[in-house]
Amino acid sequence: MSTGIDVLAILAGQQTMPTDPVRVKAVIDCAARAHLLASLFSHMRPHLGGKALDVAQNASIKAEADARMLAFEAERLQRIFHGTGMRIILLKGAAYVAAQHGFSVGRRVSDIDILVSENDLLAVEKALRGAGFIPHAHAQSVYDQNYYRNYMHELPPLVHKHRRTVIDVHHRLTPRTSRISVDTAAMVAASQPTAGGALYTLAPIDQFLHAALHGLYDNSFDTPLRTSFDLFSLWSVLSAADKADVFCRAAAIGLEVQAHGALDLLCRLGLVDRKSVPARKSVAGALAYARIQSGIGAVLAHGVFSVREHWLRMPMRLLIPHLARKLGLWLREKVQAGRQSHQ
Amino acid sequence: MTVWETRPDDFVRQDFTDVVFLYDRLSGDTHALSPFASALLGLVSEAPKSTSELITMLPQAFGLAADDFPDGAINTWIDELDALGLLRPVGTSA
Amino acid sequence: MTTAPFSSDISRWRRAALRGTLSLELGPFRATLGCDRPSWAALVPHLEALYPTMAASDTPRIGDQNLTVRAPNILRRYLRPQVVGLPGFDLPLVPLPQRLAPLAFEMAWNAAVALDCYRFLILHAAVVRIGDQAVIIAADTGGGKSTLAAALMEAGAILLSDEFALIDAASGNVHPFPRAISLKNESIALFAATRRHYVDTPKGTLGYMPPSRESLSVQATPARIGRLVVPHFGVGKSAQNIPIDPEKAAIRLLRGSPNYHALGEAGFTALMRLVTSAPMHELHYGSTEDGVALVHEVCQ
Repeated sequence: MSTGIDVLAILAGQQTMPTDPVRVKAVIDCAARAHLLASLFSHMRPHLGGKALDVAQNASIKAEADARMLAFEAERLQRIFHGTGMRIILLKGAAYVAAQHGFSVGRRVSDIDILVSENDLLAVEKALRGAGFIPHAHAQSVYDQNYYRNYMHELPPLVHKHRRTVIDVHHRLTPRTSRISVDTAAMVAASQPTAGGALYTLAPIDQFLHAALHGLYDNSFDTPLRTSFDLFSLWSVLSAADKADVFCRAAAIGLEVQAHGALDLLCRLGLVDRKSVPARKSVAGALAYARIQSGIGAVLAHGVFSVREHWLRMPMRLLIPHLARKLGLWLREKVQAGRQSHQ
Repeated sequence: MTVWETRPDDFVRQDFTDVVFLYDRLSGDTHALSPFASALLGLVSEAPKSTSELITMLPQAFGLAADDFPDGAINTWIDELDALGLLRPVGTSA
Repeated sequence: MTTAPFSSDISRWRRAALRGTLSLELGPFRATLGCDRPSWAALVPHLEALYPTMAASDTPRIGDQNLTVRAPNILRRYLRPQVVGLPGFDLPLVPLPQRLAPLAFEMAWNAAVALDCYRFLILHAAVVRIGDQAVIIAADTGGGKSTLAAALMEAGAILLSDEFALIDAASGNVHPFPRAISLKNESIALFAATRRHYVDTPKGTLGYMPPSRESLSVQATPARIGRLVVPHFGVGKSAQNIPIDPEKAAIRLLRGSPNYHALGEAGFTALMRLVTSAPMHELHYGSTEDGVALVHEVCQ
């Protein structure tokens, strides 16, 4: 059994922490690499002592700082968009905190993601810039700006000039060029106001489907354990009616394949009983599961996966010039570095 | 005219001679406030106030005349407190 | 699960380091260390000379830090050999020549503490204990914190830390972390106790001075902070002690803290308690003797 699968089972409450110190260390190191340490400890703090308690405290202080950042940035968004009538939908981590999901306790985050209507996009960008957000240093070149605007599904990332928090503004859930066509408008229409009422989150069932899309078919599978834990958690908070409706809703918004992939993965991981959901066996589910396992299977899956991601995100005629340009830049840097070292 | 409110329960303060350190539990930020900025926050903490009320009341709180302050200074401080999330217009909160 | 002094069984620690399961304990921390063969060979004389009594263990255990000292890639293990010290998380690193593996180790442990430790409020400072009170020697560019800490140690103070003040937010006390004092260039010749010298490093010549026996014997005993000093050494300066207001002290200290913001309210409360209970003095001096005398003067 791989350590990653043990970590997920412990997080899901289906397994207890091992007692053998060597296994304990392996589980803790694995959870730390996956940014799940604070989550792992959040429901076992009372049972910890010694060095494990030190490590748990350390992880939870950092995770509390992350949660504070998300809550404050959400408050800032309310202030910035107050009275504009624009619907600002929080995605991913910011949405989980706003919805006060128990599993958001201890979840490490770095960026804030929001979804807005395409018609509002320029007004949203203007308002954010007026409130101190500036283009991120990583995306300041004209080429990068055009790349994001023309081919991707988001504005170039913005960073707050004082707080250094990064915000990604999306107006669709997949790139313009992606072969997956999602009915973003239907998901926006079903979005629900947060407890305060001024911001929105996707409907719970759509949050699960979006996590399936983003986690298994987009580019975020660098952290397979965390993606799996998010999917499991989002699935667990769904009502029985939502669970029964999941493939129907998925078909309606164009995410049926993704719904099967996510549930197939959860079944393979033993987190969901395969008898309880009619999930088809899926390529993405199998690949994701292989990545969580250790050994050669993981290495193969890794390689296959990264090819798939890019292939899904961009048609080949766009992909090749993009890669060629990146390669060209890289080569130029190397050549310059070589020249400098010979001077 | 904007009416301002604040969140006094989120603030932890430590007073020194010419400066107040204010910790904001919501943002996790520590702010160093001048006596004037701190007094503005104090006035709004008592009850929400409009910009014009604050422009009248702040000089009074220090026993000064309104024209002792440079033009626009109080407006600037209000804007800065707004940008830091310490003041906000009534109706923008959750 | 037993530990033994580092100098007691080097071949056992070597096997553990090559497996990545050597653990080393100092002050409140336990670091796990993994090495490749050439890096271990370059590192071990440093550890033997400076940390002979450090508690080591070869069984895999949970640690505060996961450090790796190894070649950046397999080629650089043997061809123009290089070394990097990895702190256990992603950090852009410049490879060093393999002979500087000890530096890579010291830098990796520092980076892991500075950037990934949140259970203490961390200040960039040296700490010594004089009598029953700890004195924080805050770092200021070119101020000479390590030189002053080494001189105070020679004058009878107990070294608690060369690089970080680890402050427990709940009690306000500082926890000792007695790593070797890192001395640069001209400072090295001032101290006969300096053990290891490294020339042509990115920071010039470096020398390390081991913590004293007393330092190591109190490494588990937190100390109450009595004074804050900011050293400003300058050739030809006359000795001068300038008291600093607590609000200015607060700003100076939090500028030198890598984790103040992440600690939230606990960090604010600890910082305010520190600056209102321990007076800060800026110390100007032109000789190390004057510096030591000024510290003793402000501790009265």
